[in-house]
Amino acid sequence: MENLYEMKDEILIIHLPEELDHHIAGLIRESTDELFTCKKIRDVVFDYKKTSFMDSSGIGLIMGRYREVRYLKGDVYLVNISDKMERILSISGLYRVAKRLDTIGDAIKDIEFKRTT
Amino acid sequence: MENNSMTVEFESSSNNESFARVVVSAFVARMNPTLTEVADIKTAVSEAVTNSIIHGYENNTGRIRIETYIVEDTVTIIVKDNGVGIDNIERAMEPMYTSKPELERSGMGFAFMEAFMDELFVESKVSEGTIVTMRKVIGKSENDWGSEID
Repeated sequence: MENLYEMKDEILIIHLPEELDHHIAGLIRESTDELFTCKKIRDVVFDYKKTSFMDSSGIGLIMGRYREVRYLKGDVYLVNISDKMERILSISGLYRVAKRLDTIGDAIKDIEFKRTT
Repeated sequence: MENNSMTVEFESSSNNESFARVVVSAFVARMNPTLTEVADIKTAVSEAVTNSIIHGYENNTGRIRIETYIVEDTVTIIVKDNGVGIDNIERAMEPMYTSKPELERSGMGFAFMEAFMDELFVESKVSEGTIVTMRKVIGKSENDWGSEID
C-alpha cells in the first residue's frame, strides 16, 4: 500500500482507500507505524477522496494517529469529505480532535500558517 | 415486498468483513433501499462482524453466522458467534468504552449500530457466544419516494 502515502515537510498525507474497515485499518496502521518510527512526522492529513465506506475501525485509526502527533503539537486533518463520510464523522465526535478542511491544499496552507506563527 | 430470508456462515477472518456487508446489502437491495439506507446497513453489519472477530473470537478462528429476514418493509439482521461472550453488556454498549484500547478500538461499534439501525438487541453468555439482532424499516426516510408506490 506504498502509494497511499506522501510525505512533504514533515506532513504525512494518507490517501485512504475506497473502504476503511477493521481489516484495512490494521494494514494502514502497520505501515504508518513504520513511517512514524523512521521519519519525523508532525502533521497528518487523511484524504477521503476515494473513500466511500468507513466504520468505527476508521475512527480508531484516526484517533490513534492524533495521539501520536499531539506530542509534537501536530494536528490531524480530514479532507475531501463526502456527505456519506460526513454522516459517520459527525456522529463519531472526531471533529473535536481533527480539523475538517476542503482540500489537501487547504490543509497544507493551514499547517504552513500554523508553523510560522 | 415478498417475505424472504437468507443465512450465510463464514470464518472469523478480518478479510471476510467486506464480504459480510456486501452479501447482506445485496440481499436487502430487493427492498429498494435508498443509498443512505444501504450505507447504514453496511456499517452496522461491519461493526457486528468486527466485534465477533476481535472480541468474540479474540482473533482466533471461529464461525460467524448472519441470518437476514425480510418481513414486509422491515429487515432483521442477526449476527451470531460462539465466542467468549460479553460479561457486562451495558458497559460494552457505552459509547467510547472499549475493552481493547491497545488495538485502537474507538469504542463506537454499538453506538454506530444503534445510530444506523432502528432497533438493536444484544444477548450474550460468557464462554458461549453473542447474538446481535438489528432491525431497520426500509423506505421510511424522507428522500425515499419508492415506498409510496405500491
